[in-house]
Amino acid sequence: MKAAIISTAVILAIGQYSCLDQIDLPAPPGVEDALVIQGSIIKSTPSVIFVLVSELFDFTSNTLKPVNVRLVEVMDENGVILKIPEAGLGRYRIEIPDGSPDFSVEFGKSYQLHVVTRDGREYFTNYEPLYELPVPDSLSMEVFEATVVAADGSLSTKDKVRVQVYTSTDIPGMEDRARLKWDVERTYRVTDSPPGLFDPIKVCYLTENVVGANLQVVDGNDRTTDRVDEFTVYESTITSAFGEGMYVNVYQQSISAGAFEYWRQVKLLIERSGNMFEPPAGRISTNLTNPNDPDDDIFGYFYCYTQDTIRLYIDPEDVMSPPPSCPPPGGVLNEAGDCAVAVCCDCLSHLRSTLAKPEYWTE
Amino acid sequence: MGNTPERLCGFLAAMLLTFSAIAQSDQTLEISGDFADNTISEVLTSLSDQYPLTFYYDMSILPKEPTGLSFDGASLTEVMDKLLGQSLLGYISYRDYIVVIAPKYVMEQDFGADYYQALESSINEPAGTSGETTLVIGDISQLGASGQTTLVGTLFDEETNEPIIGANVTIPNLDIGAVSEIDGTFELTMPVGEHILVIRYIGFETYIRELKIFSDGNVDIILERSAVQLEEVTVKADAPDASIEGGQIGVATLDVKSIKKLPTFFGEADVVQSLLLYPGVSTIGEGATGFNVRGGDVDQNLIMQDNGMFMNSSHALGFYSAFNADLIGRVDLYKGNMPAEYGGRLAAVMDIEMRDGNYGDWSLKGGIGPVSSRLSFEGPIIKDKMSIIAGGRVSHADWLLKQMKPPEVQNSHVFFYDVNARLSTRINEKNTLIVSGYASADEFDFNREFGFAYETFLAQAIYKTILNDKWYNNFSITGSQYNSTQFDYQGTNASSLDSDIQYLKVRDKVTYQANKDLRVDAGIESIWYKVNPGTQEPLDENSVVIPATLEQEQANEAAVYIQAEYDISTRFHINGGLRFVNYRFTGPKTVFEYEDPESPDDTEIVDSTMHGSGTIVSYNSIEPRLSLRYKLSTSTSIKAGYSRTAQFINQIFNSDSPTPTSQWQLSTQYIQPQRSHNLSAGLFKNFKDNLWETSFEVYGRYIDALFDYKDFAELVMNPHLETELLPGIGRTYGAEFSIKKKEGELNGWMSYTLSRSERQVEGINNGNWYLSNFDKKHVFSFVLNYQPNRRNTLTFNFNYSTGRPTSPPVGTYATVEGLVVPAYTLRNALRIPAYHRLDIAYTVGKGYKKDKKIQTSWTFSIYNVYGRRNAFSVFYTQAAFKQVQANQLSILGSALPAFTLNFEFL
Repeated sequence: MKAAIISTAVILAIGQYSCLDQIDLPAPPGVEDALVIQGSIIKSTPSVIFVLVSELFDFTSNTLKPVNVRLVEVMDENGVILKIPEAGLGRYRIEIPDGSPDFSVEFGKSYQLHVVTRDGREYFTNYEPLYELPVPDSLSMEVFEATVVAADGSLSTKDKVRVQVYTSTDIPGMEDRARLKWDVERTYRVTDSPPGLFDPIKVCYLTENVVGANLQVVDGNDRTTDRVDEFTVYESTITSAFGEGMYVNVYQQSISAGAFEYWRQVKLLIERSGNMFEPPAGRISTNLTNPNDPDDDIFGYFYCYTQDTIRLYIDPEDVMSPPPSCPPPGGVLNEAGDCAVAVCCDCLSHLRSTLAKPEYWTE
Repeated sequence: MGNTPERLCGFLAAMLLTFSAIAQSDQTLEISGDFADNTISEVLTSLSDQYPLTFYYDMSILPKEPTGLSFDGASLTEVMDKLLGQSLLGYISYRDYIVVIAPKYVMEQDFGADYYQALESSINEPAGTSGETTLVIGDISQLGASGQTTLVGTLFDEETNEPIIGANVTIPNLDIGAVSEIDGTFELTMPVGEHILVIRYIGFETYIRELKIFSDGNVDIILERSAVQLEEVTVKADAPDASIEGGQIGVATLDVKSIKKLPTFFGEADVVQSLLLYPGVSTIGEGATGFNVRGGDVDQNLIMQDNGMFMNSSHALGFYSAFNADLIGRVDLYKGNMPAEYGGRLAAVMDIEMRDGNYGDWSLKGGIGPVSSRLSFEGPIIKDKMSIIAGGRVSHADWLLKQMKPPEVQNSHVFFYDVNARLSTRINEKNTLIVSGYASADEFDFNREFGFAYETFLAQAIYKTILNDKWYNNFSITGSQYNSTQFDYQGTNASSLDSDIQYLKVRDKVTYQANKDLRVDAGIESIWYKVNPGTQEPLDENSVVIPATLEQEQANEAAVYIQAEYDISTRFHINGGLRFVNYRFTGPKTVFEYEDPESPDDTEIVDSTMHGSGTIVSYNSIEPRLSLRYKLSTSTSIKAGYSRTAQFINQIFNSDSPTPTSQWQLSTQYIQPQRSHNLSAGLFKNFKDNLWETSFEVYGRYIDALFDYKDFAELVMNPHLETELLPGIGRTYGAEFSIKKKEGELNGWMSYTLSRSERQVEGINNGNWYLSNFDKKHVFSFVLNYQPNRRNTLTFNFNYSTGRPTSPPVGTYATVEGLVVPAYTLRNALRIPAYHRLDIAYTVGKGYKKDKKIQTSWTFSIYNVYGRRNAFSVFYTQAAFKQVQANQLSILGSALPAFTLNFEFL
């Protein structure tokens, strides 16, 4: 983002004649049957093995294309195999209790994924290690003014909030420091304002994954110290979502070097801005291979991690008391008489909304 | 004339006709006198005083003793027989009154008709009687038996005393001619006698003289400037028929004068922008550093100012080139095929020759534009002996930034400057010393968040010696340093990244001009490189960046070469040479050992070795060079060429354009030198007495060793850079067509290039051939000048080029977290939109009075007249669960007017 600001501003500065334009550019022929296999082993209580199989989808669609396959199994370095059952279209999932005699998920062990498709394509990953996780110490929050680039390239300033993590990167018993990845969700309260006079007003708790603009990975081995402090894992403009309180839930993961490289490349790809000094996009690395066809186009990654959760409550007063989400400024109903904002008419309309207050919500 | 002591008569001064005219005339003379106490010389003097006789002889060959003779009514024959009878001398009588005395063996020689004709001419009008329109060269006494003579001349500009290159020197009555060389010299062989010498050069009065030449001789000729000039006089690089006559294929010589009339970005005349109008030369767009020649990378071009190499040839992130057009004398661009004296780059050589300062008069010139200004001066420190030329440019763009609305832009800063100085000293007529220097700096800062700074320093000394009329020597020593820094001021990543490259180059070139047909150059050069690839430092206490320094690298690149230019006949010219290069990568340096040295992987390091100073790895390169020209007629020639080139230093970048801080990387045991074969052939034809020039050229380059970058290569501060590179091969080929009208009220040129540039690298695109980053299938340029008189010039310039390749995503997938990730497969499988642009410039220039002390000109230009939004790059954006969207970044999206004032104080 900074690079986009800089390059755009320079060009504007020199002549105020530069442009960022959306264009229609025909995509080259795709790889219609290219598979995407994403899987992970999450050490927890219980541990979970989750695999998602889909096909690439093209630009004319935003629909996922899940694919069922013939076999999904995981092997540990001792040759123990665990078959993963289907849990939905293209989804394979199994929980492994601690101390399970059939298959154990342990720190220091390595695991491999094996997938066979219905048309006979076979894929193996390398053996991915499972590392221990340094426990995060704390989160902090601050409000700041930031320069924002609009779609037309113009610059403006907006108030934003950022959440920063403090954690060690030491892994007990290991020389290498941890490679960390953070997933971030936010859960915020919304009191809806249904249009009907007799419709009950509900208080819901909405959860959203906000990694999109906040994918962060850090290699502890690239740091001067064995700590990561004041590292921003979440940043957002202050909106009405903060109006009734919000919890930012940070899931810290310790991943392998290969997985770290995969996510580093994903981050580079999704944050591309067209800066003239930007490296070109490329094919994301994968640890999946088809031994029968080395040129097979396969995407995705399989890796192991453990994660810890740390949360931070953001009070509306801490972020300059933005107005609540509901009712929206223009009213619950728009000119056509339809609901202007779905969650304001019914806060349960959100995909991950619940009436039950999360157990961690103490505010 | 006559038998005066000054009249030396060579041994070859003998008579043609052994006719008996002597006898007849002899009968009429009766010679009497007592010469007993006189020497032969005194006798001859006395006889010529008393009688109608003329004697030719060399004083030194006559005996010095008194003759002891007296005569009473003796005939001339009797007198001569007695005078010379006791010596080894003989004599011949010619006509009735001429006697030539020479050693007897000379009398036995056969002399050509030319010789006697010349002798008669000298007799009729001997030297010393020439009028103002007559040039008399040589002495009959020095004339060879063949009767042929060689005239060697040097042409000088009356005003500047600069040698004049490319003037046409002809002897119309003999239908022979020559073109003056780079040092102003010409050479013609002709029979003795009377001829007409005609010298023509644009901007100068035609020089016509009656020439009387009796033997080999030298002459300096001063050409006067025209009283009324149709165009500004500069040292013109081309003779009118240079495109036909020139022996080197693939060379483009820039008309320095026309640079200043082209419409340019913000009104600043630019050498590189002008080169882009030539076939085979392109760029990825405004704001890109460098240029591409025949599909090659920007770092595959050797850019030289005199003997100094430039590592960064642009200012302001590529908007301006580093060269001050006011100080340039000549620019040659060798595309692919280059003479053996050049090497070290695969694609091209841009050789910029600076001007000497005026040895006669002082002058000051400059220009003021909207974002940059320039000033230069030149003149004699010691008249005709020592001159200086110096100039500088500076930007002043901050005022423009402060007009912008966003405070961050107002707080930003852009600046550059460059200065050149050249001191030329004519130590004597054979020795010249030139000392020159260049310094430049660029700064860019965005709101104290991010920035670049880079600078170049270059100093050189050149010593030119004329050993004799055939041997010349040119010795030079050059030192240079390029430093660059990238700043990141913000947050926990606040850091600076420094890199630099230094070199010292020593070069000696000897030229042997055997005759007008054969010239041989031989030379040796050695370059010592020292590279600091990167030093990263945190900028403040909050930064978490680890201070790190990559090890310094050093290498030596030494070359010897020999090349010959030979006119086998008037039609067939050959320019061939051989260059041998030895490159050594030296320590001290830590070298890593990988499990698979052929495919280094930083996760597979097995060991490391600390090498001391000394050679770690060396490479040799044998590089033949050949260029042939065959003239089908005076207006048509075909040319062909081949060269083998190697490159031992590369700029590391995988972005669209190199950043100012892109490091220079020397070849190592893992990073092999890049090598190529270059072939080209072409047909060149002029029309209407060289008014129209056309050319059609085809070329091919096969790169048998290159590297490309892995996907997501980490190139910054990487001590294992070799693990990010993949070896491969490449090829470029194409055809270039150009047509040019050189003079007239309406003039200009058009060029078109059809080409392809591709690579094959294991690990990229499944090992299949793919387009290189600089492939542009079609490139078209059109320049039209309308110049109804000296003062006014209107110039149109249109460019079109195919969009260059880009890598598009072929699909997307969603992660568990909801991220929509674009999936890329093939590199460079798509093209960005095509580039085209129209520019206009109108110049109101200097008047007709050349003696006016202050001269000004105004240039009003519009760059990108119809506001074309040319894509610099294309990138794809997406949001969760939304379609991927293609976006283009255009550097310029509107017309850009500029108004520039140029002035000159004479």
